[in-house]
Amino acid sequence: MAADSSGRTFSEYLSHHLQNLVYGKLPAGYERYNKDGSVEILEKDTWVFAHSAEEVAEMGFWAFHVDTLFFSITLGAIFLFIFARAAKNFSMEKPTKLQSFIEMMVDFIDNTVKGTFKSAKNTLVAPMALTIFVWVLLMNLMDLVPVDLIPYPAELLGVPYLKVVPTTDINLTAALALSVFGLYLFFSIRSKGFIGFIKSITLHPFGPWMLPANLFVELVDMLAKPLSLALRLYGNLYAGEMIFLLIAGMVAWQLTFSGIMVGILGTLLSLAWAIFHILIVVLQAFIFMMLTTVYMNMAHEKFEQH
Amino acid sequence: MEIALGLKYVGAGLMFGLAAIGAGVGAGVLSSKLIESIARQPELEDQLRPTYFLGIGLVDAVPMISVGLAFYLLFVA
Repeated sequence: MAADSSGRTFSEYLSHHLQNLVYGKLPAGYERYNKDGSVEILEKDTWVFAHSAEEVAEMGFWAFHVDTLFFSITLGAIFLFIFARAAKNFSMEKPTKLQSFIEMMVDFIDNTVKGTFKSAKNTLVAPMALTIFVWVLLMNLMDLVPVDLIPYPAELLGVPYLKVVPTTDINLTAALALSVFGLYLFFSIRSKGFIGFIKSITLHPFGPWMLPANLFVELVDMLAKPLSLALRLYGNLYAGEMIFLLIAGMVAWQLTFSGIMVGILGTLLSLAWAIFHILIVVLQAFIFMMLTTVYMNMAHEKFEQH
Repeated sequence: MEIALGLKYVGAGLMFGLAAIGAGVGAGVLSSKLIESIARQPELEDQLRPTYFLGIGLVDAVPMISVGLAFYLLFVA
């Protein structure tokens, strides 16, 4: 197995690339092992960047994945900036290429939402679908950036870990799914009324005499929504990233004849996977958007006695 | 220890294989139905294709997750 240029073994290379940059609190008295081998004992609780997986485990729940936050917020800002600029420079007579592209995208989302969301009138759903689609698409597209292009220079600058694809972090996908789930609950209660909402989860599949069974079925059905949303996006992107990393780690460039041949093979493999991955990237963004719209449609459906 | 290592590879192999079987059946059924439907009503093709891709995406997701986890099991855990 080939090691990368910083002298790691293959499996160290993989775990290094699958680790987020975590900012969290280490407790007093914790022993930090520095890179040069020296040991530093913390005198009081300190907020620091984690240097190893053990430190991440020690930080527990209240720790920030700085790279995920940075890349997702930056991409969101880029999306808003580009779309706002195109809207501001809108012209009927001389549409720019950017404007046509964005009009295409808005039209596409508009048609999809119109086809799916039919149960009520709500002006929030289509813009939300557009936001989710473009934002998730941009975050997924970071997967097509070569795996070492950003993390390696960052490591030379002293950033210990860096994961550039925000959607390979389950925290981000879970946050997105939970926000959608919150809106689902909100719109359910708003359209059916609180009593109607309670009725819809207690009386629905088997009638009022099977209330506990109804409640169980409806609760499982309800909780499965955010769970499957989050895990589907995360799992796909994580698996894709994993395969890029495997190719990069297993067939690395080395300056010998066989090394160069292996490197060319690796590049071709990466290219093939990247081309296939374009499909997954767009498809997963589309599916997330589509399922959100479907859930919103379900939330607005009126409760009917069966 | 040797046995544990061997079982890890067997487990990962099973994960790849079973995931591929399930997804293969699912994608096959979907595609055949799409072709049938288009053959029957060619004018519906534009409406069927997005639904088909949605379905393929849903079918595709589970084996991809399984493959990712299998690689994780093999090389990281």
